[in-house]
Amino acid sequence: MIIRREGVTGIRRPRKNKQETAEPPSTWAEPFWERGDFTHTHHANATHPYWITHITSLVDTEVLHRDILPYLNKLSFPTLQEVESVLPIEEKEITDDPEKIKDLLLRGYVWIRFSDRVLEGVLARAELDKSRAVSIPQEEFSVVGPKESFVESLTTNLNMVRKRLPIKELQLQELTVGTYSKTKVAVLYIDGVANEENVNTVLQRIKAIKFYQILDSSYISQLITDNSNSIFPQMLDTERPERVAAVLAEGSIVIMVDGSPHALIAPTTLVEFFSAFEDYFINWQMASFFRIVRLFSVLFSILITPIYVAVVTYHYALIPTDLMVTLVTSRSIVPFPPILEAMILELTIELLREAGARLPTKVGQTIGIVGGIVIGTASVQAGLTSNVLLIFVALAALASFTTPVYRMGNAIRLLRFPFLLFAQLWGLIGVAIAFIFVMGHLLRLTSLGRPYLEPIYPLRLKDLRDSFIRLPFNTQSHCPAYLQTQDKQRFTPPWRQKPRDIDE
Amino acid sequence: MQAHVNRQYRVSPYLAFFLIYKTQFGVGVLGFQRYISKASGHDAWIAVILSGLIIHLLLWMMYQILNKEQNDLISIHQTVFGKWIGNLLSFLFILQVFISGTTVLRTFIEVIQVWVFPLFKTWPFALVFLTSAYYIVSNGFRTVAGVCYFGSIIPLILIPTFLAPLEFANFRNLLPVMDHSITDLIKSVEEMTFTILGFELLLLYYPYFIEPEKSQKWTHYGNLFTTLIYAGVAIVTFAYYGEDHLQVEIWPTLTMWKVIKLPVLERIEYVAISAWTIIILPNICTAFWAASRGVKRIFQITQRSALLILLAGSFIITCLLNNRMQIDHLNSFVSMIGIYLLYAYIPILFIIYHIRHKMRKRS
Amino acid sequence: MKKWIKWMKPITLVVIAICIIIFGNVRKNVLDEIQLVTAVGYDYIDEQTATMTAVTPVFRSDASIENKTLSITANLGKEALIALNRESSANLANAKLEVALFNKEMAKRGILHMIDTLHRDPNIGTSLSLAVTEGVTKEILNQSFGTRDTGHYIASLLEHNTQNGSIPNNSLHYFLSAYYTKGKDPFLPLLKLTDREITLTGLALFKKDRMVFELDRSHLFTFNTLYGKNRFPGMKVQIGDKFVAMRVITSNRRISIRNTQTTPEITIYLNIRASISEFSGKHLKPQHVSQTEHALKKQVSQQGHQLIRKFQQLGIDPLGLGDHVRSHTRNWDFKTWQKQYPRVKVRIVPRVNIVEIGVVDGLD
Repeated sequence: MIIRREGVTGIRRPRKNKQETAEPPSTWAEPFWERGDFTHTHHANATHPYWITHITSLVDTEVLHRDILPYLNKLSFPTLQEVESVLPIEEKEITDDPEKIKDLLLRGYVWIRFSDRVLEGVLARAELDKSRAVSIPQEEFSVVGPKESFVESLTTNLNMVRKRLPIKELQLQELTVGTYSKTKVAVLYIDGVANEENVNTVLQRIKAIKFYQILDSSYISQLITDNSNSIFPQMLDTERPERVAAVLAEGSIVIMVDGSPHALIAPTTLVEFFSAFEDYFINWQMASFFRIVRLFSVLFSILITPIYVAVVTYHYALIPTDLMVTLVTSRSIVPFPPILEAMILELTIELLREAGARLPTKVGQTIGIVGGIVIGTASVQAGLTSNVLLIFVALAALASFTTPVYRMGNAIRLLRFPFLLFAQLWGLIGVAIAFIFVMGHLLRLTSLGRPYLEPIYPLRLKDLRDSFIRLPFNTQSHCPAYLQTQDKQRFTPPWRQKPRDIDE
Repeated sequence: MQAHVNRQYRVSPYLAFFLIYKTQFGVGVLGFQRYISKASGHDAWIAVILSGLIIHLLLWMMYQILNKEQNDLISIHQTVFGKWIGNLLSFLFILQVFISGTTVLRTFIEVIQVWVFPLFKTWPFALVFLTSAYYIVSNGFRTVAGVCYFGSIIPLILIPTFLAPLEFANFRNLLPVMDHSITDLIKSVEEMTFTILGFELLLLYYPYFIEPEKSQKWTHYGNLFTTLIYAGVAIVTFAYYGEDHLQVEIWPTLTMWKVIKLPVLERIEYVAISAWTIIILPNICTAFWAASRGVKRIFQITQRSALLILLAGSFIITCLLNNRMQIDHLNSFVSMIGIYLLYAYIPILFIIYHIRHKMRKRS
Repeated sequence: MKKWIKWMKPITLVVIAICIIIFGNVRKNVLDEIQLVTAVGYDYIDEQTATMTAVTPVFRSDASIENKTLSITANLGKEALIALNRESSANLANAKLEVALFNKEMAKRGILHMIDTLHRDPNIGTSLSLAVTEGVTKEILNQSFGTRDTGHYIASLLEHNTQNGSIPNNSLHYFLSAYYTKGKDPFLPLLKLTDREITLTGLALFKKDRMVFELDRSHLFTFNTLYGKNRFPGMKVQIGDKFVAMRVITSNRRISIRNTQTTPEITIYLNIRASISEFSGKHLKPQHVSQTEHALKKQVSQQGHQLIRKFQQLGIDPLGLGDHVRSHTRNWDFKTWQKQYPRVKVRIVPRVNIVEIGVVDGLD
C-alpha cells in the first residue's frame, strides 16, 4: 500500500507530519492533486455537480461505480444529509473535521462534496478488502477435523470465529495500534466467562504499545508478552478458527490482528503447547497416548544429544558391555571430540531445516531428502561423524517436529544447545545444572500473570484432565482453573445413573 | 513489625507437604545409614521411625505457637524475649540455617569429587550452583516452593532403584529385632537429626501460606512421608549390607547402586548423583530464602542484598573447606546445633511462649 | 550510576560463564581414547611383589575384538595400575572391569590388599566377578577365546554358572559381605585352564582373606544345597550297578537352632526335589525311584556332615552358620561363638522327592 503524498518521503520525520496537519484545511490536500493514486475528480455533468476524492488503491471501484456514483448522478438539489441517506452503504458520515477526513480517506473512504472549497462532505466506506481465499491450515495440519484456516483479513477471520460462536456474549474490542501502520487489533472474549482482570490486562498492554508498525500478530505477542527475554512463547498462536472458538469458550482471550493469519491466545500454559487441536477429534485414549508420545519426544529431542556427549565424554561406565562394541567402533574413526561431532551434526540439521523452510515446498522436499540421505551417509562414510550419533540426531530432529506449535518447536531446537554445552562441561551433572536453570526459568514465567507451568505447578488436579492426557468430554465440565473464569462450569455433566445389573 | 505477606505471594497449604519433605530429604540420604547404625546396628531403622515421631511432636509444638501468633519466628522472638534478645536468637537461628545450607552444598560437591570427577574444582561448581540459587530465590517464595515441588516429584523416579538391591538383600540381617538398648537407639536418633533437619524452616514459611492453619495437616503428611522413605531406605540398606560391612561404607546408598545393571544403563550411581543435583537445589534454595528473609526482617535491608551477601559468604566458606576431615567436622557441628535446636530449643520456646501468653492474657 | 547498574547483570553473567568455561574443566575420558580394562589377574611372586596382568579389548572396525594384555611386576596395590599405564598407549580406564582373578598362591597368602583396591575405587562396580585360578592368571588372560573380549568371556562364564546354580552367588559384593560379616567366611569359584578352555573346578574357601580349603566339584551339589535355596543343573547317583542322572534339582533349606544361650545345636532341614533325566538300566521301576531318593539322601547327608566337620576343623564358616545363630540370639557374642564353633553339633536332615521321571516310562 503506497500512498504518495508529501508525508511519504518524510515518513521517518513524524514532526513534519504534525506541522502538515496544522496547516489550513483547504490546502492540506493540495499537494495530492493529480499525484499517484490520489484522485480528486469533479463530476460536472451530473444533475447536481459534485466532487469525489479518494485514494484509488484503497477503494473498491466496483462499490464506487455500483453503489455510489449512480445514486449521486440521480440526485437533484441534494443536501449532504440526503446524499448520506440515499447511499446504500452502512458506514458513512458527514464531517468537516480535517483530521478525521484524512484518517478515513486513508482507510478507503470516498469523500463526496459539492464544492472543493469547503471541507464538509459525506464520507462513505468503499474499502477494498481483498484477501486470499480460506485454505487448509499449513502449520497446524490435521488429518481429521475442519480444514479451514485464518487468512490475512480480519473481517474474514472474525467471520470464521463468529460463525462458530453465535452468541451475544462474544465480545469484541477493536483497537488501532502502530503509529504508521494503524493496524486494527481485535480482542475477543466471552463476557461472563473470561476473567475481567485478564481482559483488562490485555487491553491495557495493547493500548500501551508504542511501536510504529504492527505487521503481524507476532509483533503484538512480542510487545505484550510477560517476559520478552524468554525463548518460550507465552502466548499460543493458532491458525485454526475452531481452536480459537474452543479457547474462547474455555475463558481465554484471543487477540486477532488485521493482516495476520494467526490469532493469539492468552493466558496459556506450557502444557497447552503440546496439545494439538486434533486431539479433540479422536477418542480420548488415542489422544492421551499421542500426548504422552509427544511429551517423551520433546524430552528425547532435548536430552538425547547432550546425554550422548556426556556419556561418551565422561561416563563410559554407564554404557552396557554389549553396546560398548557398537559405540566404540562407530566412534573410533571419528577424528573429533564428541561435542564437536554433535555440534556439526546438530548444525547440519538446523541448516537443512532452515533451507527447507526458506525454499518453495517442492524444492524444500528435495533438500530434505538430499540432506538427510546424501549428507548423512556421506559424512558417516567419510568418518566425520559416527553413525550412532547420526541416528540420535535424526531422531531428535524428528521428535522436535511432533510439537504441534511451531514456535514451541523453535524454542526446543534452541534449548538443546545450552544443554549440549553443559554436557560437555560437566557431563551428566552439567545436564542436571542446565535442567535446573530451565526449571527455574519456567517457574518464573507467567502468561498474563498466570503461572506458566500450571497445572503441574501449582498443582491443579482438575486441570490435569486435559493436559498430558485428555479424558473424555463428559469429564471436562469445568473451565480450566488457571484462567480464573467467572463462570466455572461449562455444562452440567450428564446425571450419573445407578449402575445397572447385567441384562437389566 | 508485622510479617504481613501479600496474598499474591502466598502459596497453597498443600505445598507444605513438599516444603517439609524436600528440606528433610537431601544429601544425607546418600550416607545416613552408617551414622545411625554406629550405635544401634541393624535396629537403627527403629531410630528413624522414632525420630520421625519426635518431629511430629515438634511440628505440633511449632503450630501451637504459630497459630496463636500468626506470624514468623522473628516476630515471635521479639514478642517473647523483647527486641534485642529476640533478634539475637533469631540471628543465631538464621546462622544455623545458613551454615546448614552451605554444608549441604559442600557435602554434595565432595560426593561429586569422590564419585564422578576426582579433579573437580570446588569453586566453579559452587559458583554456578549458587547463581542458580540466586536466580530462583530472587523470584520469591512461590518459585522456591515450586523448586521444592519439582525437586520432590522428579526424583521419585529413583525410588524403584532402591528396590533393585533387594535382589541381593538378606533380611536375616535385620534379626533379631530390638537387639540394642534404648540408649543406643537414642544415640541413633541423635545421629539421624542432621539428616532430617530442615523442617524448622517452617517457622519462617508460616506466614506465606494461604490459610496457614490448614498447612499443619500437610506438614505432618510430609514428615510422615519422609520418615517412611528414610525407614525404607534404611531397611533396604541393612538387608543389603551386614551390620559390620556397613561400617566401612561411607556412602552406602551410592555403593548399593553400584551393583545394579540395567540393559540400557549400567551403573546407576552416576545418574543418581546427577539427579541429586536437582534434589539438593531446593534444600539450598529454602535455606537461603529463609536466611535472607530473616536477615531482612532483623536488619531492615532488602532481601535481595541480604541474599547476595549470604550467597557470597556461602561461596567463600565452600571454597575454603577442602578436605574430608573439615567437611566431616562441619557436618557434625551442624548436627550438634541441630540437636540443640530440635530437642532443646523448640520445646523451651514452646513452654516459654505459653507461659508468656498466659501472663499476657491475665494482665 | 544508573547505566552502571543496568549493565551489571549481563556483565556478571558473562564473567561467570567465562570463569566456568576456563576453570571448570574436568578430565575427560572420551570413549575411544581410553583403553578399557576388563579383566585383571594377580600372580604371586614373593611377599612384597606380584605380577599384575590386565586385559584390554581392542575394538576393530568390523566389530570384532582383539585382546591385548599388559603385565607388570610391581608392589601390590594401586601402584600397579599406575605402572601399567606407562606401558599403555592410552589411559587405562577401570570402570568396566568385569573380572579379577587371583592365582592360588596369591589366594593362600591373602588377597585383602587387592580387594581393598577394588573396593575403594568408586569406578568399579560391586557386581565385579572374582575367581581363584589354578595356575598362573597371566596364562589364562593371555589366552583368547574366540573373537570375544576375555574379561567379558570369563565374567559371563561365571555368571552363567551362578545362574544355573552350579555355584552359589558370588561377586565382589558377596565377597565383601561375607568378609565383613561376623560368623561368615567368603568363598570364590576356582577356575582352571585346561586345553585352551576355562573350566570350573570347584570353590576356594577362605578364612578371612586367605584361601584355606579347596572344595571339589563333586561336592558342589551338597555345598550348594547346604548354602541356601538352590537350583542345581544336574547330577548322577549310583544305585546298585546302575546310574541315575537327574536334572534341575531344586532345594530349600531351613535351619533350626536350639540352645542359643548355651551351646547352640543346629539342625539343617533340606527339602530336595529332582526329576530323573537318564537311567542306565532297562526299565525304570518305582523301586528305582525310591532307591534314587534314598541314595541322594545318603549322599547329601554323608557329604554334608563330612564338609561341616572339615569346616569346623579349619575354623571357617562359609555357610554362614554363625550369622544364622546371631539372627536367633539376643546379645550374640562373636568371641564365644568362635570358641564354640568347632564343637557345635550340626545335624543334616535331608528329604528327597523325585517329582518327575521324564517323558519315557521305561524300555522293555
